[in-house]
Amino acid sequence: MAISREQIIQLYKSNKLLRAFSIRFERLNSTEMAGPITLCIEAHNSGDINLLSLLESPEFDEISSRDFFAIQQVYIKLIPDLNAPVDDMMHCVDVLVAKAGDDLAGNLPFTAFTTWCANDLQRAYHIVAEAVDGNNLATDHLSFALEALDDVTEARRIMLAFNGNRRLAAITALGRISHNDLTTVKETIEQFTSVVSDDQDEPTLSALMGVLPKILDGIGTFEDAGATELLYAVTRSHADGVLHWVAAGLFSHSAVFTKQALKIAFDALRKLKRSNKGTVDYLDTALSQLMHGNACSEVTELVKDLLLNSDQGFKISDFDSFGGALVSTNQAHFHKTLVAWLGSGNQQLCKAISELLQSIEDGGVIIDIPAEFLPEEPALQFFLARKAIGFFFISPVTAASILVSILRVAHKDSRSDLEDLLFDPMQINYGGDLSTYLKSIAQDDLAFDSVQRSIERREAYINGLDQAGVIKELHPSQMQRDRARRKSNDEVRRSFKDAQKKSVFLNLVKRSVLLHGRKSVSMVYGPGGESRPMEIQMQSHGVSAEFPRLSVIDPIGINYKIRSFRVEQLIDEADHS
Amino acid sequence: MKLIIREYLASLRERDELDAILPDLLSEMGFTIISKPARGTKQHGVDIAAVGYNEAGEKCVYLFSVKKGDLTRQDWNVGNQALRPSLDEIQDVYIPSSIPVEYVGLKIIICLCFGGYVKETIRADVSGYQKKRTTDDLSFEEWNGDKIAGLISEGILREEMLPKDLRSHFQKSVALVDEPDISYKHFSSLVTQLRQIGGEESKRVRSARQIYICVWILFVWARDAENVDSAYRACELAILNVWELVKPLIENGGSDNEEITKVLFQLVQLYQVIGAELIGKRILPYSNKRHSLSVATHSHSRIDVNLKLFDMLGRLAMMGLIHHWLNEHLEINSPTHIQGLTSLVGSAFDIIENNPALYLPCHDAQATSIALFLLLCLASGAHQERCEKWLVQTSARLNYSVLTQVDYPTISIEYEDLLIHPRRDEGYFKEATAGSTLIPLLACWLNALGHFDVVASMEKMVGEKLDHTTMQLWTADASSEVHMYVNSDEHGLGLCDLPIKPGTTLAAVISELCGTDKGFESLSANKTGFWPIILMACRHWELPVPPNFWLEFSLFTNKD
Repeated sequence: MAISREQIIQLYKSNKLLRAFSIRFERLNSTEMAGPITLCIEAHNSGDINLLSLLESPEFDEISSRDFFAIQQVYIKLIPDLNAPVDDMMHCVDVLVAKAGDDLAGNLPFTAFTTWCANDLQRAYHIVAEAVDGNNLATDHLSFALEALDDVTEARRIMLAFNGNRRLAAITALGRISHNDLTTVKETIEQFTSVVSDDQDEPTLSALMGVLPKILDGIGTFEDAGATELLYAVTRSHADGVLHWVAAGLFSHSAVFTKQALKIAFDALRKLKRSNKGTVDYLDTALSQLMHGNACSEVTELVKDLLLNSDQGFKISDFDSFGGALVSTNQAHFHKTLVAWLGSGNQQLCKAISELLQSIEDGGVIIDIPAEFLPEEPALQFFLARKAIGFFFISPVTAASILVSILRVAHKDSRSDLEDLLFDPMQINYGGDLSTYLKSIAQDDLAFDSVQRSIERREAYINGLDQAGVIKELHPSQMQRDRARRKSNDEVRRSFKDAQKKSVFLNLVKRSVLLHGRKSVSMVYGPGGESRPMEIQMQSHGVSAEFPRLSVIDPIGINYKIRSFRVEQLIDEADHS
Repeated sequence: MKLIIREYLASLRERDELDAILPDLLSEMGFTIISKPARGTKQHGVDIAAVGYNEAGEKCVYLFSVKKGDLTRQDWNVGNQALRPSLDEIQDVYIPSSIPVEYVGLKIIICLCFGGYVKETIRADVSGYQKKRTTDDLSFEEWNGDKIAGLISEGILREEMLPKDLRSHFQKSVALVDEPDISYKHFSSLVTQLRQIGGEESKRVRSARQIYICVWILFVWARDAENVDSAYRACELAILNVWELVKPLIENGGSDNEEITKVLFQLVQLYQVIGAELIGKRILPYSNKRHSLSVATHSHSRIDVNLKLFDMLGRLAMMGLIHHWLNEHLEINSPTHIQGLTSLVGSAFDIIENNPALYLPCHDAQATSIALFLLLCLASGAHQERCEKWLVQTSARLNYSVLTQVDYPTISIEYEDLLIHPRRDEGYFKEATAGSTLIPLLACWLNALGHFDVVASMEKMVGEKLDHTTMQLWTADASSEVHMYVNSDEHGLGLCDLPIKPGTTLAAVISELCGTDKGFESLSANKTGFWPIILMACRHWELPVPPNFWLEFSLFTNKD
């Protein structure tokens, strides 16, 4: 876009410059925009136009959200090189940030402002001086000014000299100012420690927690910097803001947390409230990242403790990233966790592991648990098997695979009972994928004989079912069949509609319904108005699920059995006697 | 119509199935039955002896020798059951010695009676035999399937006696045996109207016989279609309606009373035959196969499995009780197509234990089937331990289903309601459990069997979850005699607000409440010793079994 300085001035005078920013400038890439931006800056700095005053105009108040962000992008490029009184610039930046609201890109003008301060350090000094004098506008921009000065000492001084917003600004700035070496970091840590000892209010602690991992990142760990005590001092309040920054720190700077720091952080996070969704999300992603390192056990223990916190009501779905990592990252750890959680008998933990696996694969995950993770005592093996059935009953392959794992190491006293479980309730209820899986067990598998016996029992059972043949007197009437079918169709239709409502995809596309035919053809039109026919071949898509046989034959019995398996607990022999 | 009847006759499997309808047919034609030897035996070659008028108007003695189906060479001349030796025996032995004195001197007609036709291969033999032995005083007639069908359709079921709309109902009932509900509906219309016609004194016996023949025809067609469900229900209905026909005659006696009572017993025997076909051949052989009968319902709906199995349990119990009544109380040897009573009850428990849907009904009215079977257990005096286990398990499942509000028995019997039960909307649970006959029944029996701890659990459950439920049983009152057998209106006495608690209180309260009305004792079926008809009415019309039936037993009375 070729635009002259005169045109820019003309647009300014006719109150159309903002519009030009949102429409004409938006179409430009960075290279194309450089020229017009320079012209605007020159025009402003020469006094022909006042770009800051545009943000006070009625036209700015009336712009749409979409146009605003285009304008914001232009101003982000303009600000660093504009000449303007410090107060005016601070005010301009505030207007831009306020207009953006809660948008994630809302704070970008502050970055431009920091660059503006850095381009002429007098501006930064002015702001600092004003802030020291108590000027609120200056205090609000103090952190950017300190960042621009890149002066650790000055930032520390302000932090120690003041409390309230000035202290917070200084702490924030320290998080952005480069600490070039460990010594510098340690010095800042020392100063933070003295702040903490006499200032325990949440904003300060939160700000400190926000900054600590940042200043350590790339230089050292909490332990290297001797900051573990500080970490403890900051986090022991368990304030919501602090915990949020702990989670954020783990998310963005996990490398600075070694074992001891992790322990302190996790101990604090055990007080996390489920209602703090943002923090929970941060934590979940952070934990999933940590699962790739050496902290699997600690991470899992934290999630376990959060799940067990009945006051908060955490669910495993709150930690879906963690869950995915648990299942996929480290098989040994996953097996160990599965056995521990199922074997605990705790409802929350068992439910969690069950929901986790079901969310991953509807068809049923095959879990081959190595012997080393399985209990040796027959009672515990049996208990684990029943728990597996209770919580994975609707994923029969998963349940059966756990049973098979146990059968491989089964004590001779419990083998027969385990085989019984594999037959009833598993094989009595399911064929299909379960039968396929069991038949795939290799002959040299330690569980082969048990599985074979179970398969034979099932075959005998099925043969027994077929023997009665057709007994018409037991059949429902045609009317009853029709009504049952209609009810079933209604239920499926309702589920389908509910699922469609949740589909993001369907909200984005145009939907056509084909009444007849196996393919459709319609005209599509190009940008130049040219048309061409587009053919779409119809494909079928379906899902299937196997229902347990006893849900028809004995619904109460199977309901009761599975519920019993879920809730039963091991008896403590000491209590029992 | 004739075609239906001819097909029916051709499908008869046993010789004595043809025996079953001939006497009534002959009676309706104006014959006097002289003798009808006992089932399975001939009297010197004669199955039925009767006196009637030939085409010339002469009074003759008719001697019938009956065979099923077509007459083949084997049936004619081979083996002990062959027809020719029977005919020889009639001429050599019966005629000289067995004709009653008052009929000696009358012309004799020997009737070769069979449900099908004479095969061409022996046509000449049969005709030659008849021709050689025919004299002035002795002649032969062939009553084949076509002739008998004609006699039935132009006789007892002729249009004047079975008007067009009734014939239509009958034909539809037979044609739709594979849709038992529809078949039964048409048969019900037929029977009701026949009974109403039989309200006129002169037509009472005929109506009863018509009903009987129609049930037989329906049964044979249903048997051929391998679905005797509608025939079973039709036979029950027929028994109840014929009882309705006979009950005004009970006090005065008379020949009509005798005739209708004969028809009643014939229907009861037919009921046993149908029951043997259904329960004996189709159900009992698979009693010990796990889940086999449940799967044989061939349905994806748990409701269908539950409904059908409890229905079969009730039918099995009814059959067993009839068998018990015939053998024990009337000292009649009923046809033992099925097992002895103890064995029958044992097989029933096999069915229960292998088909766990029978541990808890899906609706309250199924308590009738449970009560009937409990009575049968009492009658057999066997399998008490299994009975106790069953009741304890039923109670446990009832408790569980109510506490979890999953699949608890509802008061509704409508299929559509059962399909969507239980609904989750507010107030539904209270609506669905507004009353219960099942809980008092279970509690009463469990108390009698000494399971007070189980009843205590029920008491607790009722107190916590079902305090809105009217705990009740039902018995007959004065109005029941009019309405009971044909379900013409609501009747009877509800025994309400029964205390569900361990001990003897419940039974005592029930007993006392039953004593407030003599309706049960004054039921005609009770007074005459035909008590199974009351139970059959309860089963058929889905009424609770009156506790009067079991409270007399020592199990309930010998408690402190």
